[in-house]
Amino acid sequence: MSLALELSHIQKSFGSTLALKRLDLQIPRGTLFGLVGLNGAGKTTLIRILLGMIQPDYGSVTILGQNIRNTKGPWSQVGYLLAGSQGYPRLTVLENLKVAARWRGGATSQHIQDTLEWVQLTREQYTLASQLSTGNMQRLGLATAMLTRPDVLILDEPINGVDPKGVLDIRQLFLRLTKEYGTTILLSSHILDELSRVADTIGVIHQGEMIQTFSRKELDAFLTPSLRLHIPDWQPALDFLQGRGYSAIHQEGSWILLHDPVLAAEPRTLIQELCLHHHTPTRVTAEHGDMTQIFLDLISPAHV
Amino acid sequence: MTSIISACTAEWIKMKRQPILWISFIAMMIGPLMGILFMGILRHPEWAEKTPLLSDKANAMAIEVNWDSYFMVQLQALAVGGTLILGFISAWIFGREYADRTHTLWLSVPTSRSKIITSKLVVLTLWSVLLVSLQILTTVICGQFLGLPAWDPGNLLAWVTGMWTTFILLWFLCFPIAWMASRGRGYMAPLGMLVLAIVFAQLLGVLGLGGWFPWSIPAIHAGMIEQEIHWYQYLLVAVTGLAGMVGLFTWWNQTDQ
Repeated sequence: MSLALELSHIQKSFGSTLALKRLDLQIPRGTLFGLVGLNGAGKTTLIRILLGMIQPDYGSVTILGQNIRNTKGPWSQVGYLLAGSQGYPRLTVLENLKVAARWRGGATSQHIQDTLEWVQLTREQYTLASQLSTGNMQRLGLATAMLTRPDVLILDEPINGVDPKGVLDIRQLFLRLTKEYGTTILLSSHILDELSRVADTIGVIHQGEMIQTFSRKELDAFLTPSLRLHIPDWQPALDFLQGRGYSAIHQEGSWILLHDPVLAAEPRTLIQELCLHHHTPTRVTAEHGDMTQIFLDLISPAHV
Repeated sequence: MTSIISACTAEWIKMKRQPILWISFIAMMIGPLMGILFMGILRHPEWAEKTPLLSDKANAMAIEVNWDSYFMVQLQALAVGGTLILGFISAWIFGREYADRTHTLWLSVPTSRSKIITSKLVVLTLWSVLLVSLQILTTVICGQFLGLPAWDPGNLLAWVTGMWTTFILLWFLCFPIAWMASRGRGYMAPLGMLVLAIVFAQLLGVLGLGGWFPWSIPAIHAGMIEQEIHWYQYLLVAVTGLAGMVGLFTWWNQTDQ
């Protein structure tokens, strides 16, 4: 699969602070990459480097096969939204999009109207941006980013302040963009639960380093409700469960983990079966995947 | 070329919604209107019978009531007011983007940053030209209305030429202000610079050193400070302006945003 975005060995310091440390990232075309990290982890620096707003000390950035330093930039194919910068407050929604259309070229009045419809801002098109709610301001930023139907969207905190229905609409919009239009999306967000629902890959950035990436498959595995069994003599029990076709894995200590939402919801039959074969669990817990917990575990000092 | 025109249109859409547009228009008219008022009072003392303060002020200006003096007052109003107003517009156009955090909206778009900066400068120039044109027109119409004596087309031509050459000097001095607005990421720094420039212009003018300070030169050119002016002093203004322009483009193209 060809790459839409590629960062190689990116390093950036601000004075004595090393903001990004030899960071590598590859995002295939038509996928949604979620970027998570604490405040000050390096997300915004990474995004600004991708957009050519900050020059890295080392490394290269390639977007759609073009090195952004050596060319005029692939900006006609890139849309973006930066946190806190969605539009001109003294202009109406429509005027904001007209201004963006002038800079971006190739956006007709029909494009503008279609985009307003996509982000559900048609009714507010004559409203001043300064009078929009936080959620609608985010929609305006999204509309600006999507105006020319770019191949790549780089979005910093696009769902902050958006109401639950709006989040759902935007989620569906992102899925539609990636699946139907093949748009590549890099999405930075603090709302981990939401991110884990839409992302094909999630990257965790911490203290300027990409410390972990999760594929969709891994995310599904993490987020699927699971059953944990504590069995003192765990090895024969694990063999027994695997022999019966369960996807059981051994965890630290004498714990066995089964990723199975059905078993997590109704474990009685399995426990009876285990007891019958003398693999009696001493403790049983049903767990629901929690992206926030996974993230916090990852950035905890013990892990880092 | 198309993208420059498009970028200029975008700047105009933004500019026409800004209060600075109307504030600058009103501010630019204050000087000429004051000149017209005082000239009117001197020409028609009965206008100020009930306001002796205004009458005293007008008399204290010790100017003759004719077209020549009237033109001189307007030229000096442009030299002083124009420095402030054009500087303020420059600070607004560039500094406001940072204050509203909207500058990032156009940093990574197909239209290059240089073209967008150029479009801002084009709008700044066109608006300034419009303001000066309005001042010229207002002055001439009001002068006719006042019935000032000693009308001379030759004087008119010399005055109009003086107005536009003063404007060109002021226009050059907008670039360092625009650079400071960008460098200072807002409009406080350029406004501070503008105030300092005006203070130093006055101070150095009094000390007879105005010819070596770019912001004094428009006032010397307009005849406010009696001092001989040489071609290299005009060059100093141009060099200051060009240095500001180079700084402005370099800032937007090279500095981390």
